[in-house]
Order: sequence, then C-alpha cells, then structure tokens
Amino acid sequence: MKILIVEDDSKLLTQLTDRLRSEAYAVDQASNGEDGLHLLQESPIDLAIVDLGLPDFSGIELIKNARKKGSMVPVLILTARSNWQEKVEGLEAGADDYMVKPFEIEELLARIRVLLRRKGGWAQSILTCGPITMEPSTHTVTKKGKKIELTSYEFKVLEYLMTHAGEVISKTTLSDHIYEEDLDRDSNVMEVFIRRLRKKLDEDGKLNPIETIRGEGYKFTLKREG
Amino acid sequence: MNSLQSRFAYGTILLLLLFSVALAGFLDRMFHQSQRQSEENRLRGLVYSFISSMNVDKNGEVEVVLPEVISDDQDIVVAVLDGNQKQVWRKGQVDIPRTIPEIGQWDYRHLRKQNHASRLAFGMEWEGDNEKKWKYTLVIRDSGKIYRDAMDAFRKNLWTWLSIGCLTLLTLQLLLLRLGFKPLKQIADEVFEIEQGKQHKFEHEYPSELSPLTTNINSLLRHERGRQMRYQQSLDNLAHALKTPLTAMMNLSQQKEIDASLSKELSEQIVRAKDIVDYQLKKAGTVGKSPFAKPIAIRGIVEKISRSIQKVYAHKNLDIQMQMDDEVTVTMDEGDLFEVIGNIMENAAKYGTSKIHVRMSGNELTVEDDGPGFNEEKIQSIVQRGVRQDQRTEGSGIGLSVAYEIISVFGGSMELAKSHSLGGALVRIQF
Repeated sequence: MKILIVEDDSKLLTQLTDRLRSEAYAVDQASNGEDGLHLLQESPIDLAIVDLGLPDFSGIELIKNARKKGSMVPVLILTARSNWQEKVEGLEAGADDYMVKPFEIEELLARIRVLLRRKGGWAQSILTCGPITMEPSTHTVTKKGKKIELTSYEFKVLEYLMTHAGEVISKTTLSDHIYEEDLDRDSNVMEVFIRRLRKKLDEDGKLNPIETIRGEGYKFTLKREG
Repeated sequence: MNSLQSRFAYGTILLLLLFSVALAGFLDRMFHQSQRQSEENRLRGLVYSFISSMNVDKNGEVEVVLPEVISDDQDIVVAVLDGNQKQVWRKGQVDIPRTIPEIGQWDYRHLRKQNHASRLAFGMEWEGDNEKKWKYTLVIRDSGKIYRDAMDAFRKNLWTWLSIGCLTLLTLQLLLLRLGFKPLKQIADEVFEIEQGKQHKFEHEYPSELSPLTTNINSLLRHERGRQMRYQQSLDNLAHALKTPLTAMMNLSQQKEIDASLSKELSEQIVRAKDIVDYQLKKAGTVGKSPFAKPIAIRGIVEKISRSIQKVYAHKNLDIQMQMDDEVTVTMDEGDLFEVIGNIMENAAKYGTSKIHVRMSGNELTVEDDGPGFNEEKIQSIVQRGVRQDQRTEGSGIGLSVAYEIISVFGGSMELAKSHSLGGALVRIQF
C-alpha cells in the first residue's frame, strides 16, 4: 500500500515516513502543496496524509483540487488548529478523517488501517479470505490458525491482493503500490514474490490462492469474508 | 419621544401654531384699527352732509332736510343737542354722550360693548342772520353693521389663508426635516446591518458634517477586524509552531531505544502540554459576545458537524436525529458556535454507542447519546479544564471544558445530566 505524506515540517515528515515504512507501507513524500497535489494526481497513491498548514497553499485547497480532478484517494488531515470550523471545512472539502497534533503514531496507524480497509470495502479489521486470515495491525498472516512467516515485501504484496480480492491486478499496478516513487523496479522480482507467496500459502498446491491471468496480471481467488 | 425627527417635528408644529396665532392677532388688530379710522371718516362725511342740509331759524329752531345718504340708511341715527344737551332734533334713538366736545372738536367712540357701533359727536356754533349765535352738538351713530361685516369677512379670509399657509409650511418643513434627517436614519440602518453582520462598513456617501464620523468608524471597524484576524492568525501560527514539534517529541518518546517508563512519562507530559496549549489557545480565540455577530442558522451548523462526525466515526454507523426548525438562529460568533456544538456532538459520538439526538427548542440546545452517560460525581469536574472521561479513548479531553468556557463567556449556561430517552449523556445549553 502506498501512502503519500504532505508535511512541511521535515522532522515530522522523516519520523512519519520511517514509521510507516517500518509498517511495510511504501511512502511518497511532499513538503509543499504543489508537490503533494502533483503526486496525488500522478502517483498510484492508496492514502494521503495531508497537513493543513502548508507553506504555499492550504491543505484544504489541495484536497479540494484533488477531488475536483477526480481523485478518490482517502485523505487523512493533520492539523495543529483543533478548531471545529476548520475540521468541518477539511472534511467537507473531501477529507475522510483528521488528527489533531500532537498525536500518537499508533493512533495514526490505526486510523490509516481503518481508512484503507474502508476503501477496500472491508468492514472488519481482520481480513479473511477462505482459510487465510491477515491482521494488518500486527502483520500477522495465518492459514487455518497456523501462522505463516512472510517478509515485509511478501506481506505488502499479499495485503494489496487480499484487500482487492476478486479483482485482477496488473503487475505494474502491484509494483506501483508496493514500491516507492524513486525506487528501481525489476519486474522479475514481483514474480519471485508471487512464487514465494504461493509456496507459503499453498504448500500442497490444492488451494491456488493467487491465480495468474495471462497478459493481465494476478487475482486473489479466495472468497472474502466480512 | 425618543426620535430626534419627532422632536423637531412637534417643535415645528408648536412654533408654527404660536406664530400663526400671534400673526392672526396682530393682523386682526391692525384691520380693526383701519376699520375704526375708516368708520370715523365715513361718519365725518355724514356730519358734513348733515350740516349742509341743516338750517336754524331766528328762534334757534333746527330744521333739517335730510340727505338721502342719511335718510335711506336705517343704521344711521342722528341727534342735535342744544347748549344744554337737550335734543332739539333727532332721527332715531341716540344715547347722549357723557362728554360733549368743545366747539370745533370731534369726539369719536367705537362702542365695542354695543355691538361695535360707532358714535361721532361734533361741537359747533351756528350764527343766525341776526348775528345771534347758537351752540349745538351734533351726534351721529352707526349700528356697526359695516364694521362687523368687514371684520367677519376679513377674519374668514385671514384664517382660511393662514391655515393654508400653515399647512403648506408644515408640509414643507416636515419634508425638509425628513430630507435633513435622512443621512442620520441611513447611518442608523447601516449600524443595524453592521450589528447583524450583513455588512462590514458604512457603504453610503454622507454629507460633509457626517462623513468624518462614518469614515472614522469605518477605519475603526477595519482596524478592529484586521486586529482580530491578525490575532487569530497569530494563535493559529502559535498552535502550528508549538504542536508540530510536540508531535515530533511524542514520536521520539515512543521509540524503542527509550526506556518504557521514561517513554510513558514523556508521553504524559507531552499530552499535558498539548491539553494546556489547546485549552489556552481556544480560550484566547473565543470571541464571546460580539456586537457585530450575525444570527447563525443553527441547523446548518449541526448538519455540517453531523456529516463530519458520521465520516470520522463511520465504523459506529451513527444514527443522528435532528429536531429543529430551519429558521432557528443564534446570534453568536460562527467559530464559537462550531466549537461548542462540534465538541459536544463529538463527545456524544465518541462515548455513545450509535444514537445521537440533537434538539433545539427556543434558545435551548440539547444533545443526547446512548453511551454510558456522565459519572454523577464527576459532572462538575468535567467542566473543568482538561479532565477526561475516559483516558482510554483518544481525545484531548478538553472538548466539554472548552464548550463550557465559550458558553460562559457568551453569557449562556451549560448543564450536564442523564438522558432519559437514550440512557446516556445529556448536554443542555441555554444560549
């Protein structure tokens, strides 16, 4: 999952980025509204965290512009000004949630997970598809109650596929949402991840959770529950 | 009589009435004198006519061949008195004057009590053929009908034209007053519009006597608005400048390298600092009772906050029911109103299960939820700064305290109780 952070305070930006990366999110950064708007429109972002007090134009303007141009990305606003008029203005402009500074990063992570889940149409915090269960908050994946050890990138790929269970996801889309903007991508690596995941999730080859659709991409075939 | 225009109008009417009465009295007096003079002259003419038609024989007997001008006039009576004031000739009944004029002297009297009759007496000496002289007094009296008719006609005309003149003057005066007071009325109208928040300054052109006033008030308003905006901007900047580093500090305090107990202590202190900053900034930013606040439709605010809360607390699938008319308004600063209703409704969303009822009746707003409700013992402490109902739930814990503070500054009241309909908390505000 790729998250865009638009924050002008470099210290906070670095802290948030580091923490989100440690939680297996791909992070794109912008320190002003213009860059943030550009990334929001051009990059395959799954969620944006936008500070309202940006140096060039307000975060509210950024959200309004993005929504006007058709972006449906969930937006969480960060504000130092905890007044309700501004919160309402931000939420009416198209934001989905807000956090008032200072906030605990764990609370932010919880809000991010809720928004991502809501975007994927999931009602529960635990994603369940057939015998496979994923708990994003603890990065735990189990099959029939048995824990499956995954690397960070394997978790990222599985999370995206499970969140979009039943949809065909192209290799490019998958890469876009897993890798950060400025990272070199090797298409063969994605195939390696998929192969490893299949092996870990389907040791006996009976389940076939990830199907390859020739010329189109991959599909998580197990039926979602909840 | 609080209106300046009414005072001037009543004053003008009174002055005009006094002036008209004085003028009428003066003109009446002048006309009366003129009529007296005219009557005296007429009677003198009649006296000369009478003398020219009078003859006295050698025995002093008076013989008269009355001229038509006297004989035909029923209102004229004449008497001739000899030296002993004894009537020696008369036409009609004439009262003898108390004072008899000397020879060659006239004595004219306007007899107001006798229906404004006029009487002229003339003292004369008649020299007969035998050079014998007789002294006579000729008395001529008019009934006053000519005088009365003239005065009646004059007075009728006088009051007619005076009334027309007065009414015309009064109308013109009232029009002038209206014209003169129009700028003042316009100023009052504009002040009302400014008070209602419908305009920010005096927008009309005013006469030179008033324009310094409106220009100065406009400058004051601009200055005050600018000051308030700079003040709010400074508070916002201060919030941003303080709370962004606090966020960074909080994140640092939660890093794995830091000892758990130290991390906990640091987090608590940062939250405390944040609560103090939030509370003090919100308190400083409260506008309170502003003379320039405009009436705000409360339903619009509640609907906006409901949409926001439903978005943020989507996982609770909130059922927010509103009971209020579209036109119910509260004359309060919009930011303050957002803060009060936002904090109370968010509190209901945060602690409630799924139902929130918002009701406005008269100037009373009630918000109820289906949560656990307020702890009776802590109801008073909740409206104190920074006391939190539930430490486990995210939130600054100052929401209700801020709402309470704003309502207190505004001059209203806030009451916390138990909701009988939903079983949770009830917050009642009197604006």
